[in-house]
Amino acid sequence: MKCAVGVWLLQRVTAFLLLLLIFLFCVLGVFSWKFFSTDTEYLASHKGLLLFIALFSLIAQCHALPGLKSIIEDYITSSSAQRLFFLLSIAFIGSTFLAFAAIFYKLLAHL
Amino acid sequence: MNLRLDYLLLFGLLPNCFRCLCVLSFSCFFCVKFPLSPSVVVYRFPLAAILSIAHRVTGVLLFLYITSFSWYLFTSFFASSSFFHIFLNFFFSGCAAQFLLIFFVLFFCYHLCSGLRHLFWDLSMGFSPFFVKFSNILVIVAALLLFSFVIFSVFS
Repeated sequence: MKCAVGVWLLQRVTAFLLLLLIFLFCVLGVFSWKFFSTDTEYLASHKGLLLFIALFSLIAQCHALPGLKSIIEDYITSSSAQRLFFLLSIAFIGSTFLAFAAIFYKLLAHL
Repeated sequence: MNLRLDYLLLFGLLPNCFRCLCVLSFSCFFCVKFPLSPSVVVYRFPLAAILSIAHRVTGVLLFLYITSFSWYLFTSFFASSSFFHIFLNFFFSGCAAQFLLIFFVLFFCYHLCSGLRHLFWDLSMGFSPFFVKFSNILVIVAALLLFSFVIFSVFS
């Protein structure tokens, strides 16, 4: 029961953080097509934007985890398949975290 | 439909084979073409249910998009000549990227508006049937307006 409340709280807190991030992003007025840029040169020279993308992605994935868990529990009956899909989603989130950590490590090592 | 449901509820506690026989005999007797198996799961979804399912579906799609985007960024920085990067490059550059991006923005706007409604529900607000029906329409309209605003501001 305690765990369920914690998971529920995590999803709501991350939702508020995402709203705050979007609001900050709109207030800063940097919302443009460049936000969706995949040009590495541009992103390397605009570390603030990259940091925003990283923060947004990681918080969004933390927000997604409880939702994915409930979807898996609702639509998959086999407990082993449930465990497999849940581990897969955790692996996806871990890979995102590692990807951004590696990118920032590389960029900061070049400074 | 009501007849079938009443009939099934009446014999709900009996064993399955006996229940099937009863349904069959009932349908033969009244010359009604009922399905052989109970189809109580076939019903018209209310709009709130469709929106709730759409909230979940868009959430999963956004999760997949964000994950693959982070992988794409990683391969751009570390392995720009790898097969995986070339594969992801198809989805994140050129026309396909813009096409995907438009869907990403649409799903994001919808998920945001629908999520705000869920936050209101968490605060025990808006449970009255009128407000639920009103918020159904409000979520759709707000999502479409937000989507058009974002697309307009991005492309202009």
